[in-house]
Amino acid sequence: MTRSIGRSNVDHRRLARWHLALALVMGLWGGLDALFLRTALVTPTLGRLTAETYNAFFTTHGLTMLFLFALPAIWGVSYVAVPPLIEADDVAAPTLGAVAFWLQVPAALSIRAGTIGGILGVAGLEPVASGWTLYPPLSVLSANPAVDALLAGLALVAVGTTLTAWTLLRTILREREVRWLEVDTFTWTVLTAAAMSLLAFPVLAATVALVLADRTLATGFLLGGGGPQVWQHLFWFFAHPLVYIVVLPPMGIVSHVLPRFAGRKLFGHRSSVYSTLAIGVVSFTVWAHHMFVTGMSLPVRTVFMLTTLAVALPSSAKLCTWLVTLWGGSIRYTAPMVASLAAVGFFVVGGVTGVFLAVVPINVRYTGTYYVVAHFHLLLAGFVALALVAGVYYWFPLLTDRRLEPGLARLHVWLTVVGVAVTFGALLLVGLAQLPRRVATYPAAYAPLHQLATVGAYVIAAAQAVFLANLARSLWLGDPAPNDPWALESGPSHTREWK
Amino acid sequence: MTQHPTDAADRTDPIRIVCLVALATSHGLIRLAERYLPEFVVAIGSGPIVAGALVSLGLGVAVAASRHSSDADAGPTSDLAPAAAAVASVLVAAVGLLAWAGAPTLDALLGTPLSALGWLAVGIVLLQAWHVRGPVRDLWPTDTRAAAPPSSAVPARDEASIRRGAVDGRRTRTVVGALGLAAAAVFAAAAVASAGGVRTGFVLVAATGAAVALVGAIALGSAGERTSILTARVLGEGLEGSNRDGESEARRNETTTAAPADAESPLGAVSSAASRLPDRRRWAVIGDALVRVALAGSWPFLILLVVEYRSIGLSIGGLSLAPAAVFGLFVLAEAAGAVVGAVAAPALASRLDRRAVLAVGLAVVSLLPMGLVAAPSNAGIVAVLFALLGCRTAIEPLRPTVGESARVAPVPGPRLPDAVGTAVQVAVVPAPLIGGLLYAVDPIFAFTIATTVGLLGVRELGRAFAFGRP
Repeated sequence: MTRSIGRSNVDHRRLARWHLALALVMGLWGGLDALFLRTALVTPTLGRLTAETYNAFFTTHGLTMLFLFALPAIWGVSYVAVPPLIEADDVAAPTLGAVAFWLQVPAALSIRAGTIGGILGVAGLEPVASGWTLYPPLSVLSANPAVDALLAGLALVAVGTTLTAWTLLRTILREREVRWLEVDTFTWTVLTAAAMSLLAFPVLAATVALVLADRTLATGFLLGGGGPQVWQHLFWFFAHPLVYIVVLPPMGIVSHVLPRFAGRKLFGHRSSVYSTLAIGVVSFTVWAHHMFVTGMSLPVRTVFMLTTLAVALPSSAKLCTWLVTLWGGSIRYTAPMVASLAAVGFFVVGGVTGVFLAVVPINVRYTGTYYVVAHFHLLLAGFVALALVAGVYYWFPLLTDRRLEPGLARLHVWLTVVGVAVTFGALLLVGLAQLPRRVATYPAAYAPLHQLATVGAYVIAAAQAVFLANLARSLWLGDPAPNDPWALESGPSHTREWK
Repeated sequence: MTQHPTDAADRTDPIRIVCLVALATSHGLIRLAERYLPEFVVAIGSGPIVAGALVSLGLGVAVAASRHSSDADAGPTSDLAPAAAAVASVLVAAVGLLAWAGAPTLDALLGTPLSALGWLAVGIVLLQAWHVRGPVRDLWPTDTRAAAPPSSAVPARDEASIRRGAVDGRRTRTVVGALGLAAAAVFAAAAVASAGGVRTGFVLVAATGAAVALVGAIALGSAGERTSILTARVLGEGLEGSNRDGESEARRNETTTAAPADAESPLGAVSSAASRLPDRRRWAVIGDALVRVALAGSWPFLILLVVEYRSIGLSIGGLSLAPAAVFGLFVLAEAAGAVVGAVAAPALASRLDRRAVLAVGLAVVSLLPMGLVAAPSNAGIVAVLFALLGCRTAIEPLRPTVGESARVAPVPGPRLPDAVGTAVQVAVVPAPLIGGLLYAVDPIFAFTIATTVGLLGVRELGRAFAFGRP
């Protein structure tokens, strides 16, 4: 069933394609930023690059990957899979979904206005270099108009994401044709992430409004006194749940894909759902662990340490469901399965390094180092991105009615896995040596490890080139997908989306 | 002509294409890194003697390893072994490139006492895995190594097929190798130019080479999962065409004419094998070997000549390129010349007297070192000279030390015995070290000696061809 906006028909598959196309373009752009900054780090000194340019690269990389790649990709996968999984005809409000998507386009242009202005030589417009966290006073006092454009873009992201979350939430609540007990784990994660978005993104809009007010009206909300700390509380109250908004649906993808290619049903379906809900709730109570070095009192830090450690429990429960599901299974190493297995591996390493960071004394020592960079990239690039890859490969026939070339798909996954392991394994070692992050230069002794990390980054880039080639090949030459493209009909896991 | 049943499917297999692209690019980047190594050695405070010693070390390790490798090839191997060896060799080469990239600082990280030069030496040793056992080791090498000996037996083919296969396979290897080199040359020029110096530029080339090699290894490993295609052996056949088949067949037919050298010392084996060669064949081999030695003694120092001694930069419009970056463009010209030479080779061999083509070609190659010294400091002229250097691919099939089948060699006689071929490879080993010593005395002296030795070789070749005699 399709509903019209003007002359064009919009349905959940079209919404999915739009979101995934945007995610692809912005992911490549953000990835290019990463390649530039990794190339700059090949040698311990800056060479011809300025520190400001380096700062701009990691700022735009972070903003682009989180707001313009990860979120659209997650909503894209959700749009393609959720309606058939709950046997809905379509999303509840496709018009609203379309509006929400088209808000992301000007948002993307605004967020990247500094880069675009820099490339086009627009006077005064330079890439924002204050870090993706936009801490005041740096963000408030910057004379760069691209900061204003960035803030406007983030506000649009907040509005667009809220509308998207509302659309998906309404779809699951109103259009669902299956009983709650039969709702699959992926849909539960999307439901939770959407609900979290409704709470978190308005906070982003409010904090962005504060900075804009300070910059344009000189209100002084965030300058002087405890202003910068106020920003950090507000920002991280939004941003840590954002991490889980980005992590939960990939967890759902892994829970969905693993049993299908292990020839088993997911072990602990209820446990998986409850852990999803628990993560959704607890993740709003941990934000201050990002602020352990801002002078908070020890009792407050201890409380946030405990709540942060508490998140590890439902996360571990999910890990248990995956491992037990695999135990004794008859595993088929398809591309989505290999990506899911690798994602689980990176989840373990990224999760364990995160548990250490929750502990106050360790956090104080490592929070400003590459250890944190390695930790969150092992989770975001290792777990989230690979789980998204698994989802995209698994549901690609649903999205396009075509099949991807399986050999290239596996090669893409393997290259990504090796690239991520090499890059962030090397950065983990650098972090354990407490090398400060966000600095363009470093002692010469760390050059080989940084070079190794750069080699890994190049391998990740090559992997995405293979993905693009496979995508192009499949869209132009790919075989039409059969009704049961993964031959799951006789398997023990239900295959509702392929009916 | 026998057609492999999986050929048609293999050639369009996307994994195979990824493998070929990754490995050909790795080949180019490894060769470019090797070309830039002497300048990097100078940039970190050493001189041409050390650079020459490092290149000699690499050649020596390659000769020793290739002998060991060919011995191993003679024994029984499992189906998995070649694929695993191919992947391992690519991975080891990637580690070697990483050792090069991190050479100046690895001691500080690991607490080792090797020094930057020590790590460069480690990198060179590791990179020989690529040259000796790598899946694309037979691509156009750009340096002075003799072609690797055939290593696998294949079904026999008729003589016309052998000839045609040899020509097609060699041309394919040269063109693919040159294209990989050309891509790497452009990248190296851009890397050195953007980095503002060879120190960072070399690290970028080496690190990128390591990354692409890693991609190649993973692609090879991924292909290995498919039993029907793309084990390293299949990839090798794909790149090498049926040339190996031809060479193997020729080798089987001709080894009967070469007496065994059992129970003899290596030197005695070489001596007796050489003495059994007809005089003209022997002279031809000695002449060609001298040209190889001359080129090996001057080739590593071309970059020092262009960058340090002549300082040949380039300015086009508002773009100014430093000599170290321009060297990458010279290698690009060399790669273009190699393609032209490879394409022209069959026509030259069939329309002209092969002996004259070989003699003139080797004379040109011998004169090029002096030509580079004497040429005006004009990037265009030097690029033409580099292109001429690349054009030597036109005469490569005719060279007496390649071990070519007697059927296509311009000098009559049996196929080159293994002992003599190895002796030629060993003779080339110290040439870079000696060249470095001479270059340290005076670059003009070194390049003059190189040209002199090369012309002596051409003179020996002239004796073999009996020019001017009835």
